Amino acid sequence: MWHLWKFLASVRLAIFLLAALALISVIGTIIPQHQSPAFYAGRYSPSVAAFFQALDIPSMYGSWWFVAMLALLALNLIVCSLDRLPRVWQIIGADPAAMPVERIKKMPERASWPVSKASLPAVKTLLAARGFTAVNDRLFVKAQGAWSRLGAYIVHLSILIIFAGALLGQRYGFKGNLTLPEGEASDAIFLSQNSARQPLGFTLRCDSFTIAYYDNGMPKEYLSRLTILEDGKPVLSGGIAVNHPLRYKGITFYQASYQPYEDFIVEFTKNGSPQGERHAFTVPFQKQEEWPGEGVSFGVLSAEGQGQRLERLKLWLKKGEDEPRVLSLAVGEEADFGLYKVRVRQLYATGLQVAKDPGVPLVYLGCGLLIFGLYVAFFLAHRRVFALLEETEVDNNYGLLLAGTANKNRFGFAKNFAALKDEIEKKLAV
Amino acid sequence: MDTSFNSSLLLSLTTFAYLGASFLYVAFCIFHSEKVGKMATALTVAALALQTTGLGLRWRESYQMGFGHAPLTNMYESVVFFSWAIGLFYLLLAWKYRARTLGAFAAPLAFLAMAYASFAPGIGRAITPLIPALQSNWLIAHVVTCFIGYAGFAVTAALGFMYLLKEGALATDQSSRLPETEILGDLIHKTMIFGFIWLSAGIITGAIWADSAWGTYWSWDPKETWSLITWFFYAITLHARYTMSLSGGRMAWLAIIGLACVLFTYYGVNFLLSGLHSYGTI
Ligand code: HEM
Repeated sequence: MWHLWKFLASVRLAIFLLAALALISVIGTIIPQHQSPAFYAGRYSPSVAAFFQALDIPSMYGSWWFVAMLALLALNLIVCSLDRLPRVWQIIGADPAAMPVERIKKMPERASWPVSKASLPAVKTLLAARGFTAVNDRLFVKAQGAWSRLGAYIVHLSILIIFAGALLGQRYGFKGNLTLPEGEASDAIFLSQNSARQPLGFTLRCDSFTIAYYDNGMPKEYLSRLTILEDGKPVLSGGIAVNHPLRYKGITFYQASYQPYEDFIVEFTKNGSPQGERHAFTVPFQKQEEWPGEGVSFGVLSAEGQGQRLERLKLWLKKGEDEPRVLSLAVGEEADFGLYKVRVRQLYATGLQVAKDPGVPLVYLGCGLLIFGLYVAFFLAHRRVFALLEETEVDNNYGLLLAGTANKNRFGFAKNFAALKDEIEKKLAV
Repeated sequence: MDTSFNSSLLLSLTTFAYLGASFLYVAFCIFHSEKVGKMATALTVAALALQTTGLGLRWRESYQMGFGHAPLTNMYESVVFFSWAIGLFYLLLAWKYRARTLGAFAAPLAFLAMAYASFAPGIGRAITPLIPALQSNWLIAHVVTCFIGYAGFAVTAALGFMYLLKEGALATDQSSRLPETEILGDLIHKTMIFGFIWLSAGIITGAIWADSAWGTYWSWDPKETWSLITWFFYAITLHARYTMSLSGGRMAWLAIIGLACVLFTYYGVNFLLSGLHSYGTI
């Protein structure tokens, strides 16, 4: 049992596991992940493909053996920390004043001088000014940053917290997507993993989808206007763009893609009523549409653009027995039509990435703690400096021993120590 | 736009200034002339100033073109920033630790990065507007943190190379002028720690960016995976140093291998494992 504990607590195991994880991770960067079985059979030979499937290579980072290695790393971290923390805790809590004199005399940084009784007060004043506390009238101590010994353990804990967050997301979250044509609504999405239907618990409607372009034709913004409905009533409306998702009840909607249709939205707005009467129709290309209320029929004759980007189109309209009119319109351009203004644009569906991940706050907490822990582990040190006065054989004379040790950055500590040494030397020379 | 005084002119001059500084530093190491050393440092400072101004101008030019974004969003800009960070990091180290000979290794790295950015085929150098996925402050934070980390690792590898020149495989007659091995060893450790912290921050900011753009903070994309492999590599090195008291020579080799990992993460993944990058559907 003890052997097993020591094995699980060993840094050798940690180094082995980290190296193994690093090397094995390379596989998944060479062999594409999450492709169809046919892809692997086509790219490699069928027998190699079967071998990959047996080993879960196509989704290796989620395979039982990869997760098992991560679990072993987590166990290694836990046991290692439990094994060492008590001793570290003891060092942190130890009273520096209780340091045995023999240990002080053997510290890596040392300097000593003879001191006359007369210059004692000056030396003591200097020590006090430099932050030393007097243990008694012989021993002076300055200790700093004992708790920085916890730095490595903060880092290790942060890794465990990140693992916990990932696990939480895996268990209680989901990832999916939804393609929603403008004007339509849905109360469920489809899981990325297996395309199963996942109810949202509310309804999501896409009010509009628009693309803005730069002058050079590159896309500038994809914007979906979404409305959340509960029991048919709108409760939240908002626009989402890439990098600006919308969140409701723990579920987040991301702008991920879009799909243009060969259909058009023809919109009539009554003059003089800006947000008043509005009638919108979805019209397939070159099909006739009727608006019985006004006795109007209309349709899109032709459309032109670059690539997928529609720029202009021709719309015909006919009211009652009037002659039909043909309007050539830029996308979004308004034209007068009787009492109405008419506008045409292409119909799109927005492609949403949908995620619920209750583990994210934990993961980010872990990340913050990781950086903090690294800072503590690397930039703060436990530094202890002692000044010890000892009577010598010569009457009225003392020996002053300055000695110190640091658990990290010994070069930096040696520099500080040398500076203090110089100061004391100067004091004594006066 | 005024074409006689613009960012690309300044950045071209920067390339040559780093080249000149590299020669001066090498001359300084060989002839050990204090005067040449001072000139080398002065030229490096000038190169850094040109580069800083060049990056600043490029930033301004992007605003004049009507979209405006920090010059940190494509391969060209990130490599220029990498070179900038090497220059700055070297100057700070040389100033703090009086290690001017490091310039003979750091200045060529800064030069090579600039030369690669300026002359390699297939790298777009034009200022272009950002597609929606790249419009994120997290992207800026991600590029800045990663490349400060990479610059740190580049300097670590340069120190590792110096270590090997001083003692062991590559030692030569000129080696006596290099700093003592204890100092080099200490600097290797310090700069590796520096790089490790920034790389950690780089991976984290990248994850936050991915989460805000795609709803997944980690997707085991080849680039992400390689950055994690690199991170593991340095974590292993630091643990091995701490618990097995690795010798200075071993650390020097690991510092050099680490930089190879870094370079593979940045370039290798793009070129050798291309077509697998799962981003950019939008
Ligand atoms: C990804 C995983 C890990 C990371 C990022 C990590 C990070 C760190 C860091 C930054 C330090 C401080 C190093 C120094 O002061 O030079 C450290 C120390 C240490 N690590 Fe880890 N570590 C990891 C995994 C492990 C594991 C699995 C073990 C299990 C044995 C382990 C054992 C130790 C020990 C014993 C120390 C020295 C502790 C001390 O200062 O008292 N580490 N680690």
